Amino acid sequence: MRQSHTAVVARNAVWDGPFTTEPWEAAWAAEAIYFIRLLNPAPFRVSMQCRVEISPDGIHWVELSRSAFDFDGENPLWYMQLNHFGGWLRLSGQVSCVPEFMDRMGDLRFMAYLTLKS
Amino acid sequence: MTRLLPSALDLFDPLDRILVHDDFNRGMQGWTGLVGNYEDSLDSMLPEYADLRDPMLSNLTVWDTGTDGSLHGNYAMKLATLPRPGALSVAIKRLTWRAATRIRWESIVTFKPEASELELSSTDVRAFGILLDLQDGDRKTRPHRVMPHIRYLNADESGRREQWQYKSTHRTVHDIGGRRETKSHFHLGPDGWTDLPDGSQRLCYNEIATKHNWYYLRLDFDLRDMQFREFQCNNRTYECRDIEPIRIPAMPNLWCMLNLACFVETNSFKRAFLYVDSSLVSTDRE
Repeated sequence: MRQSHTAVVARNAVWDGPFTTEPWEAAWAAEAIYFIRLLNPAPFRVSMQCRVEISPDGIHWVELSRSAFDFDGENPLWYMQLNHFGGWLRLSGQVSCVPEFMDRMGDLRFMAYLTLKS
Repeated sequence: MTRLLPSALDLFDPLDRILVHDDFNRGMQGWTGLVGNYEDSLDSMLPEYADLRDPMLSNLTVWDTGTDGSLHGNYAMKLATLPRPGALSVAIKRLTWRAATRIRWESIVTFKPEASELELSSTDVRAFGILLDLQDGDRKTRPHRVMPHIRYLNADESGRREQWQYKSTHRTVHDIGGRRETKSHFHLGPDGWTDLPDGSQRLCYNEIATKHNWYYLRLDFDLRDMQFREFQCNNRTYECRDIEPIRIPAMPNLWCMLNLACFVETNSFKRAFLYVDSSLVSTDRE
């Protein structure tokens, strides 16, 4: 039977601008999916640009791939499928919205998951 | 009488009944992160629980020599803190007990700071430790929840400490949310730790941040009177009959709880790592 594990890499996080998830060791896994879920879907659009980064040592990072997504009431969940990523993964990026809602970004809460399978 | 044990258990000295043997080459085996209790929203949990980091599987790769692997293969369980003084990572495994007997928890562990600087870094990890979270059975007269904690205070703001400590006191137990159904208290804060008698012990840090030497830990606790018996780290054994664990009135839905947890805390703006190669829990036969 294959090994699998879902890691919560951000729990109830307040992202109001740039963010970076903590390094996660994934050497045992052959495939991965990053998920980001907006816990309390906002009545306005939240734009995210993000990069999946890999590392030889958990200290030095380089971009593997990138993505962009707009969260709103109908689309609270983003994902990205990955393979051939070596021993370490992290996600970094930025969230933003139109200026009229910027003072409400601090009310948003994000969950980020890394689902790994051997 | 000498017992014949599988070779993978030969470095342990278990009591008669082996409850669980966790070798992290086989996956996480029930070890997971600790989340604070909440009601309706994660915002309702006590703030100290918000940034606890969850455990992962590691092959102990470092920048200068590559992969160390674990003691018996490739993988160990790794706890990694945020890079902020006082940040914690906690791993927990949840069982229940079926007979009030002695319980022995043995494990093979090591700790290091993140090797992000070419310096000795031996005081960058503040502490690592283990705890049990227990509750009496539902037929016990005057039942308690009992939480024996032991930690190795490696260093603090004043510098190197190298001292085993235990905790007997606890903070206020708070109601969480508005329905009076959920309670929570934070028991891993810097307050309330007391030096274990004669509990100063120097360990094998081994010169730089990328060398991992494994340590043996053994905690003996007795579920019959909910008291410590002994604690051992490598060559040192500590008599613990006279030290008190945290003891609070029983909670309404934790009967016969047997939780194991380990934790690590950083002393610097670097991540602190605790690695667990393997863990074995045994009891007397009832």
